[in-house]
Amino acid sequence: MINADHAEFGRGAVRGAWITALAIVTCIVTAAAAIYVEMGAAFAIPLAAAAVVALVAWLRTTYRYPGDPDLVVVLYIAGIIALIVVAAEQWHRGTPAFVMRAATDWIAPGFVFDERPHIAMFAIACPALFLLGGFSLVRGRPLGDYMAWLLFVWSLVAGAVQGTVAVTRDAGPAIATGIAAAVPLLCVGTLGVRRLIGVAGARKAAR
Amino acid sequence: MTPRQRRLWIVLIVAFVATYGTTLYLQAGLGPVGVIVGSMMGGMVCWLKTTAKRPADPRAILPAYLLMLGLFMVHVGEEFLWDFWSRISGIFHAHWTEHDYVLLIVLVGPMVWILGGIGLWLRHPLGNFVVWFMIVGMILGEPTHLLVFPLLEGGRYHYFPGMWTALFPMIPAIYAAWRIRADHRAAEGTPA
Repeated sequence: MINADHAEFGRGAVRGAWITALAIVTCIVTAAAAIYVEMGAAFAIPLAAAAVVALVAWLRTTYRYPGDPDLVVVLYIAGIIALIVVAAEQWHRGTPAFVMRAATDWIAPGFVFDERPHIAMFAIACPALFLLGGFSLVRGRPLGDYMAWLLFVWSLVAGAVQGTVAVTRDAGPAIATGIAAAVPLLCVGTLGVRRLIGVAGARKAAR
Repeated sequence: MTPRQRRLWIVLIVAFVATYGTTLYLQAGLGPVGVIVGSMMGGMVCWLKTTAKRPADPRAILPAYLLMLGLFMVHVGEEFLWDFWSRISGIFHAHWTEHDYVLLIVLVGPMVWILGGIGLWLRHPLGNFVVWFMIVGMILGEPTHLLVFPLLEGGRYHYFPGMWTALFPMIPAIYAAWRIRADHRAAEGTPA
């Protein structure tokens, strides 16, 4: 399904898409500052980096050449599930306490990263955000195109972090469990990025 | 779907409902089980009457379903932050811990519900059942946060965890129910 607005407008994409881009930049800057102040650089840096990389990738691909969102819907939803699987593994293995020990200097003074903020942020808020973004994606809106980029880039970042944590945190067979949780995320992220580049490339070639 | 396939799916769904319901009953008592298992059974009836015969149109329903799940996760967040499990335990004299709540409602539940979105997109029978289960749950189960739970605690009408965000998932749920029913009636050749 290609949105009617997508088909009507050429380079520069959907009418009013620049407003969406502006809103996204505003949200990234505000969220990065808020997370840095309240939680610390250990959280702000990876989240902001993923959001900025996704923004640049979106502006260079599906912003200018919006494609068929149908091609990434299943991967997108699978990515949300994979994020919950990783959050579940981290909750089960006590990763928040490990992060508090390993990244003390990078956590905001007074902030305690235990199970509650971990669950609230990574098992509830994160899936909620991507589910709401999925609504825009399936409806073929520019915000959905950005959310797809954000989900796939974040999947790669979160998968890499999860793998690193598993290797440094665990010993013996537990490493395998930690890495096994990261593999679906890395697969979804890689396939999603490839698919989005392909979608935009095909659209560009068709013009 | 053939009648035999339908019977097999019904057996599978009933087995899942029994397993999930028993686990939840042991942890949280009768109240949450009534809401969730009731929604599952209601969802199965609606599914059998509509999308078991002809899967829902994913392009029409998936946006509403994802919006509904997103709003529902916001609601789960409110429940989590204000200790929903302890208040439910108080009402139903159960021993529902934070650990049990997180496991069943925050982690395993959403995995199944979100997986239902993929099933809906692929026109899979199980996905269509999960969609109906969630729709019925949002429409019949969520108002309990405003109409039932605060009253069961007794005293003056007061805040109960989850009540500020309970009704919002109903909006896409009602739209999805209406749309599935209208599409089904149109396909059956009767006026919607």
